[in-house]
Amino acid sequence: MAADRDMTTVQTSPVRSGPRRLHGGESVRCLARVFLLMLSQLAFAAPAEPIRIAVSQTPLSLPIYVADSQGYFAAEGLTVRLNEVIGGPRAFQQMLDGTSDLATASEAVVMFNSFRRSDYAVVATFVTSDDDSKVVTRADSGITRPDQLAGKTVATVSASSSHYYLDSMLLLNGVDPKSVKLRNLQPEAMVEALTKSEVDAIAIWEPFPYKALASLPGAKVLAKSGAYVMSFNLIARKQWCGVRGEDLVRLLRALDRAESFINTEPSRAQAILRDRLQLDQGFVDWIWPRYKYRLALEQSLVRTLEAEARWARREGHVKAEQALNYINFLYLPPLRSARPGAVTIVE
Amino acid sequence: MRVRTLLRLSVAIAVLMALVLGVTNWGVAAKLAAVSATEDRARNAIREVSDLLVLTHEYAMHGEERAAQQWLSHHAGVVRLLETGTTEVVPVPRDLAAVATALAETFRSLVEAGSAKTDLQRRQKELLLDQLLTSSQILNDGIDRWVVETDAYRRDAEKASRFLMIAVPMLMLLILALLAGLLSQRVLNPLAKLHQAVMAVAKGDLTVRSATAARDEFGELSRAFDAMAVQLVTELRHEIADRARAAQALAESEARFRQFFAKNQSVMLVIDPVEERILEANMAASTYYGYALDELIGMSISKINIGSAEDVAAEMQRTVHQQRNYFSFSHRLASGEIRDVEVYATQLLDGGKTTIFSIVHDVTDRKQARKALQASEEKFSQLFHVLPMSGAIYRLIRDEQQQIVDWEIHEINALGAADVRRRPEDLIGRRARDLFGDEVMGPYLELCRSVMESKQERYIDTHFETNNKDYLTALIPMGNDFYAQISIDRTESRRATEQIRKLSLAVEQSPHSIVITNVDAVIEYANEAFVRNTGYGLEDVIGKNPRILHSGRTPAAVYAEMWAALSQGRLWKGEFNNMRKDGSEFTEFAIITPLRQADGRITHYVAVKEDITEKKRLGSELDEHRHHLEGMVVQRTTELIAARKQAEDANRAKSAFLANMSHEIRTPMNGIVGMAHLLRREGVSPRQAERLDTIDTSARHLLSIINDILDLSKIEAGKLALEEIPVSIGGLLDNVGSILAERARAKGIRLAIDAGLLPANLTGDPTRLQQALLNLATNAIKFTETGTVTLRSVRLHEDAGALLVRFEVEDSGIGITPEAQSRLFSAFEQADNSTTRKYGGTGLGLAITRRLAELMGGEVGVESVPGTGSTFWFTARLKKGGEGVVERPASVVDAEKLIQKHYSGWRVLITDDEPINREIAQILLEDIGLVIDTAEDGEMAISMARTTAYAAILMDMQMPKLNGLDATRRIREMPGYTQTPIIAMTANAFVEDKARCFEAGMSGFLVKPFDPDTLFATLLRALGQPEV
Repeated sequence: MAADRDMTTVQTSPVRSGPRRLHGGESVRCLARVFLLMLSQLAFAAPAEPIRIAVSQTPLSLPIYVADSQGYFAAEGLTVRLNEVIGGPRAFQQMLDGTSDLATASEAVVMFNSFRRSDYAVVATFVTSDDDSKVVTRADSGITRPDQLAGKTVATVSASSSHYYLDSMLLLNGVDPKSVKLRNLQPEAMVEALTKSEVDAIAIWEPFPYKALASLPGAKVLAKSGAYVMSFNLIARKQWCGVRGEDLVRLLRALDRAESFINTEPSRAQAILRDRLQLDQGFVDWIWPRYKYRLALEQSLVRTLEAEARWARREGHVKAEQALNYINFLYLPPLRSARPGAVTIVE
Repeated sequence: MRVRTLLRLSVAIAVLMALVLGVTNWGVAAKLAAVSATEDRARNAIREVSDLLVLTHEYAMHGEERAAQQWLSHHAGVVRLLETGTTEVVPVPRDLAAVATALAETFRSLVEAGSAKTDLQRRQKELLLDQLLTSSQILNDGIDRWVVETDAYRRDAEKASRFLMIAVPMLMLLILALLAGLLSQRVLNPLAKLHQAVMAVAKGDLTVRSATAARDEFGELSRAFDAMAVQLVTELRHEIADRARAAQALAESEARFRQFFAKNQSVMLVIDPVEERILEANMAASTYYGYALDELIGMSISKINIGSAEDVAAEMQRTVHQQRNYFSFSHRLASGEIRDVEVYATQLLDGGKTTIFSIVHDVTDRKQARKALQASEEKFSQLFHVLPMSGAIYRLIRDEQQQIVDWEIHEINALGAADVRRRPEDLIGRRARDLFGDEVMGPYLELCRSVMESKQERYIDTHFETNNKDYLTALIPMGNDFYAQISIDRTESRRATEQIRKLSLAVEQSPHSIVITNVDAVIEYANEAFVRNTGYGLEDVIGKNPRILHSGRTPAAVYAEMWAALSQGRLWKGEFNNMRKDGSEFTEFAIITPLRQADGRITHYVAVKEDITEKKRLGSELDEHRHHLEGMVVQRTTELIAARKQAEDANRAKSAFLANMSHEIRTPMNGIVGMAHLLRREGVSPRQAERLDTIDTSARHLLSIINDILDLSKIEAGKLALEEIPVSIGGLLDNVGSILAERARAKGIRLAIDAGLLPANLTGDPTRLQQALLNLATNAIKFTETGTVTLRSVRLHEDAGALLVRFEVEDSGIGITPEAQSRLFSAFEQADNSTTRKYGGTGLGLAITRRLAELMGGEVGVESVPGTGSTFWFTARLKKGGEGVVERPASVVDAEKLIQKHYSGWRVLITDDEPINREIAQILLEDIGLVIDTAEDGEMAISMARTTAYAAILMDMQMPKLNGLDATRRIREMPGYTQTPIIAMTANAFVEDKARCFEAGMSGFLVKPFDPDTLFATLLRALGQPEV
């Protein structure tokens, strides 16, 4: 914009000065202006810095995959580079490290990190699910109900939505989480650990439960417990939001288009999902009804963050004296201008 | 547009507008009512959920039963409001009902939890409360969205309604005003104009016109009025002219008719039927009857008509009553001669009096001629029907241009009808075209036309398809309208002639000599073949005895036997040795048959003879050759067996030599590489380090040459076995990339990897794929000075079971000329010999790559522009359906450090018969903190393992006394050694060697010579990598 204004000034000034001859001082200023203009044009001509998104390889990230493969980002004039990782915690870490600008992660990851730092914010929720994380047991472990998990070894990714889900399940079924041997594993190591009998059960998000069921005969998913609805969110550093606010609005517009595409052309969206995750149609059929792709920022997100924070403090997963105000971890303006009506949170 | 249409249109538009207005109002009102209903529901739901939130808090704080009861009642209200009905225009967001149901479950769990007594119960209750509040909020958010959507919908509906309320009546008014204006302009003006014109005509002014140009009904009325005025004037004028013309025509006509009567050449009379007298007669009548005109007028009709008076009177009455107008009478002339006449009579009305007008023709001569003709026709008809030939008379049918187009059968005799398998009565009167069709008619019509034109009879050969017979046909024109056709059957004579002609040709053209003699053996006939075979002309042999051919070499018994058979009337076969006219001899095979006449008498002999001289000669030659060939085959077979044995022996010796050479060179190489490494570890000067580098590089080069030669010879001997295990193409490319990364960096070349999207579940031989790709990539880096080397994999073709993958290495190097490209993939070839001097290498790499690609179902190739760069590629078929390779991030862990850290002090046994190798391994492993024992052979290793528990054993494969494989098997049977890592060390680098090691129970595999890093990494893998 600054460059635009400069250009206007320089182009109109000779007209205004008319036939008047330039004095020495004026001509120097004029030259300086031209020089500045050239510099600013150089800066303006340089291609916009690409937006790097750390994307968790899960069907939850579908709107980003769709926007990428349908060229919606490019249509908004954005250059977007996807850094694909396994799991929201890793994506979140990339964003914090500065190797990515944005991250996709569950609200649980936002909550866990909120006790250590506050320099990031949720920009939008783009999908919710009441059935993403699952607890899978091996056939020979003899575990068919959640209350049988007491005293057993269960693997999960600590400080993640799966962690919260597992703890909720245990508590709601009368099992003290402290009585369960928790092993913190990376998502991709879960299935092998279960196969090699290193653990009795795993609590993890899709697509790993599906893979475990497919590769391990007799493996079982324990029935859903509790009313946890997880959300998957686009998160950015606050400082970056300030600098790239305009781009963020464009990015959200592209995701808005992606959402329409998913709802109006589900079979094509599923094909993109299959390609991206290198999984089969059986998997897509298994997860599809469980996800609601909708761009929003709603009061329930704040409630969920608070509820999880209380749980984390109560169960000793974090050491914190007092509760946090999660309104400070939300950045509403971009979504408000990209999709008015999708933000129902009152600041 | 017409006024009527305009009127109808106005009424229709008005009705339509009223309808649209009504329907629109009704639709908008109904829609707004539905929106209001939905809004009410949504707002009520919001209220209920807000109450739920408050009650949840109340219950959580005080645990009052009243709060729980009210909670459940409000929840039921929410569920009712969220039930999907038919009235809402904006549907309830999907899944809200499910959230509401789940909410009730959570609340029930909370109520069931009761008052928390233990810490666990307290934590459980707090979690439930949090989830309850969060779920309530989710429900609240969902209903909020519903309210927002309904609001938006209502706003749109209201906007549309406002627009319609104003726009529809305005549009209606506008259209009606337009129509009213149009009507007044189109109706009133023309009416006034027409009124003026009618008034003028009424006053007698026929020249006046209304002259309106409009196209509507008024225009039509005006034009009709003008046309009427014009028509009135025209018809009045015509009427007057017509009457004048009629009067004149009448006078002229009367004069004409009077002349016509008086001067007519026909005899004409006017008779009074009542008086039976002649009233008028013309000059022709006077001349014909021989009476003067005045004698005739007034003469009684009975004077000339010789019929009875009654008959004449009756006939006249018939004429009067128009019953008849043609009569035959006999009239008497003045001379007394009686003539036959025909009378044409007509009744005339002359001023109320009836008279008869008669024209009289004399037909006496015509009647006589007809009688004569009838007599002649009867005679002809008799002749026609008894003729022994087919005969028909046709009546020609002509078109308007007098062109003959068809004919009708006028007369046909029985034979003629039989030719077409009919009876004459079925054919007479039928058209030829109907009987024979257009196809047959075409040529006949042409023929008929030309016959009729020339008026000359014509003879032609014809063939009848109906009875398949041939005829000689005569076409005879008869006057203008008839012609006759007479056909004689010639079928039988034709066939006989044809048969004789064919037989005669067969004999004449037969390749065998044919001779016919009479019973006295005098030659009466000889064919062309005879003349050709014997050299005698026909003039030489006709009338002679066949004896002239005798050479004197046919045994007399042959002739005797022949005559004996022939004289008994039997056929005879046999050979003659005869002589040609030029004196040369030849052998003939002859068949001689007696010819019998119908009465059984033999009149002739026929001899058919073949020259078999050449056949006899070839037969004897063939016998000789066969004997010779059999001998040769036996000899050659013996020689070949010996040669094959020699070749097999040589090949076995070559394979053994190569295997030995490999083993023998690798073993000392291990010493060289190992010792160089040890020297360097002990600390050397920079100059020494440089020399050690040279030793190392030379050793590795030597090793690679040995490997190449071995591979090539194995492939050529067909002994290279390919593995079938999961392959990751991406991993493969990365591997090759990382192997060459250092080399590329050193030369300042960029190394790029472009792994296309390929399925993960492929199987093949990753070692060989890597070897092939590495060969190409190594070359690329070797021959590239600046720029980029790109490794690429591309999917070429895919079917149900396999994938054809193309691996490419693109460089920006020196390039290769087309002539050199053709030689590149042969063994020991490089682009040119100077290449070897400059860049080194054996020239075996590409040859091996080619053989490997072919083994993997693919091929190799190169595209190159000298000076610009080259793309070397090979393809390989990889099967689908494996389990896929789990990609792991490359371990960057330093094996040496890990062993030092975790396994320091552990005891390891090294077994090798070669002291240098033992020493190297020992020093290397002791350096990193392991405790080492050594054994010289398998037996020693077993006895040491029995007394000491080793953490791991390194085992050479080939050793005296007891080899590594057998030793391993026995150690595995010992207690405590089932899981101990045993790592094979061998100079045999083949896949099958590896397989044999694992089969024997070994858990690792090291190829000699090995570098220390490989040794450490293999050992660490076998011992188990500790968690980091």
